[in-house]
Amino acid sequence: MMMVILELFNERVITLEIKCKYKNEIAILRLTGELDMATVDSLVEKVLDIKENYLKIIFDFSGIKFVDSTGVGKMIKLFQDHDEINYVISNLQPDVKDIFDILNLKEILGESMFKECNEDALSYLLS
Amino acid sequence: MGQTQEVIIKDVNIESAINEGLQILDVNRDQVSIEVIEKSKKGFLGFGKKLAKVKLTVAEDKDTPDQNQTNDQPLLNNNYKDENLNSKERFEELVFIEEDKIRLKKTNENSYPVIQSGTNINLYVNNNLVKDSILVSGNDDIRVETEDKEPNNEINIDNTQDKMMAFLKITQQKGIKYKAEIIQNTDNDEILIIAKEIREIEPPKVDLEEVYKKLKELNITYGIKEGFIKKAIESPGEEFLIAEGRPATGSVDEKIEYLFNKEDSNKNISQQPAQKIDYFSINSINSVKKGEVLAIKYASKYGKVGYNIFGEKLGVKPPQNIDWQIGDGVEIIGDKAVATKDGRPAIQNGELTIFEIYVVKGDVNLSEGNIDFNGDVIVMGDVCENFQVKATGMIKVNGNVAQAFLEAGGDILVKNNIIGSEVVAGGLATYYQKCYFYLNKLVELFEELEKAILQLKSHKSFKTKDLEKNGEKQIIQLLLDTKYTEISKILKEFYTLIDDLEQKTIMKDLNYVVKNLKGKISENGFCKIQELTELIILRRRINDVCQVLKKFDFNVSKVQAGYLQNSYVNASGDIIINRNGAYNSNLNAGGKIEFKGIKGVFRGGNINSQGDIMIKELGSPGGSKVQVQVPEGKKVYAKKAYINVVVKIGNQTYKFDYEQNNITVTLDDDGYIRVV
Repeated sequence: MMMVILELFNERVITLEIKCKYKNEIAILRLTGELDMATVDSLVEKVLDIKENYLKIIFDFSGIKFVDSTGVGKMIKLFQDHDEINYVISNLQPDVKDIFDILNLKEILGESMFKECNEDALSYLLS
Repeated sequence: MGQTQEVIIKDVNIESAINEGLQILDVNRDQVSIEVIEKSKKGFLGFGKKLAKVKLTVAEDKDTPDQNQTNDQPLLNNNYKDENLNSKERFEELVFIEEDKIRLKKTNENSYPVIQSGTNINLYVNNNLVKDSILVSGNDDIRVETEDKEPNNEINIDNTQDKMMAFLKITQQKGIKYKAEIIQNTDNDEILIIAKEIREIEPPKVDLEEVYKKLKELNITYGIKEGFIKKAIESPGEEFLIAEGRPATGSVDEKIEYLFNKEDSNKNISQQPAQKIDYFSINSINSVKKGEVLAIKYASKYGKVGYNIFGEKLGVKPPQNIDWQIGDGVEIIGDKAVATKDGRPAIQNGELTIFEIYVVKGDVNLSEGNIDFNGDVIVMGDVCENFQVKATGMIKVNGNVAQAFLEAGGDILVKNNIIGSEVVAGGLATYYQKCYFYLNKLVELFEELEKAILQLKSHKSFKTKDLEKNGEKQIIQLLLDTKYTEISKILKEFYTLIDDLEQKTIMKDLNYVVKNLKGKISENGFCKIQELTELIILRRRINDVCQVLKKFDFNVSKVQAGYLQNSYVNASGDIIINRNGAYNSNLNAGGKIEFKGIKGVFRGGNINSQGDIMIKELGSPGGSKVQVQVPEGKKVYAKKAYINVVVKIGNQTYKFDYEQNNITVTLDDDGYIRVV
């Protein structure tokens, strides 16, 4: 488990919690908090870290309530720079899904990259 | 303390029941309280008949009745004894109305009235509103009140959705004045107080002030027509337009009027037989002398602001100004464009230019050599084998063109035949057409992009702190990389096109916007825009250039020839073949293609046109290969189409397998090709 806590402007603590679980050759990253300018680097780092052992990664977005352009931008860049990894995003919350729809991410990244739940994601990556 | 004693008696009417009860209890009338439980009903032929039911309660001490208590009870100080009295006589004797009071006649001592109120009457007994029937005594204070209907005026004001008109309708309702009257209820002998309509009350005329008050409540302040309000007041029930806004009047854009007419002069030339043409007379039709006014610019006029009925300002679009675009041989003096040399005036590639005219009196051959002239070239004879003619203006050949090359900035008109040659008209205009296409698309996409940015920024799950810190570049880049990848695709194609163009002279407005654009978004889609406002300004600039490029439509260059064989023709505008037609040739037109000759055949080759194609015969009886292409929305018409002819519209293809007459090939609404 890894925790990023940043004190910004002494107003708010912004966090992204990343919990890792490994199943067969698949890594499941359960993300909780905000995917933004302050936290996205830790996610990228984490992926580059586990990529040594795992090339199938599920981003469980069930705990992501907020995103910003830097967060989404860097995540997309990660997908493009490291396309040797098989990514799946699961459990998108409605508001964040809204934003992804505005950005047309399904078309850009491929519809198969988005799954309703972790079970679907697992069976997709295992097939 | 004595006991309470009570009896309930049923009898044919209330009075006999009371009397019976008094006998049973052996008391006087002033010693009991009487309650009517049920009134009697006569029924009809014995059906539905009901007896009266009364309850008599003896006061606590019947031997020493309390005087005060007795007064409170609804009793009369007399006995009922006469039951034979006719009821009609009785009620008249019993009660009468005096102003709003109902009085009992004291003289009558043998009858107790039961009264009830009818509709529109309120009955008060000792100041209590009574709904049911009630037995009353002389001690009771009985008051009646009529429910008069007040006259009513309804002021109704509606406005149209565009807030430009308001209508007033006044609806009047008459009032009714009632008067209480006593009648006998024939059902049960009770006394009924009813409301009798005595007169209608006309509503008062609506006060003008009332209407104004209502208008004020509705915030209607502008364009109020008092005359019509007064009319509406005079004619209730009718609707009147009582307020009207003033629409804004549009601005008048700046306008340039050109004083020379290109179309007419061309027609005149081609209509004259070749032999009789005197080139000086051609020039005089087409040309101007130094100092002649070529065009006048009319000033713009600002429109007038309007108001809706709520007094809200209706803005006026500022008028658009047009800048002079001038090339060689033209000078602007005040609001006029004036020729600074003799020649043919024309608008070519958006610029008003004077083309000097070079006339070749014979053929273009060895003695003349190749021609490359800044202006128009008129060849009175032929253009012979292996020679070329280039002109920044137009080229006109009165004879034939054989195994030669013609290139003109303007039109190319060949009276007779073009054989084995290449003919290109309008160079830059074709480029500009493409530029317009790309830039117009960019304007659309930028507009969408701007909307998407605002949509994201206002989304509750989208954080904008990084934008506040680092500018909007991040979000623009994100959208360029995701939803709007088309933008970088178009930019790439556009930049390539412009790079091709840069060797030639390019319009300065376009040049400026290209530099601007390249500085903001690279051809790899890398965004250098920091703020949304930069994007908006850039989009507006592009749009301005689009508006300029759009106007080029009317001066795209056309090619006219009598007959074509084994040749290649490219025109930014129309291609028109006046005589027999074309054999084994490739035609490429930015406008339409028309074969005007009676024969008008196209036997073999390719035709690519941005406009409609009108031809007499497509292909040949022998089945020569012909391919015809037009974009979506355009059509191909032929009097006859032979086997092996292929027609493409958009990305749909149709091949003729047999000869067909009078065909029109189009795309239907579903995007399928149709041949009729």
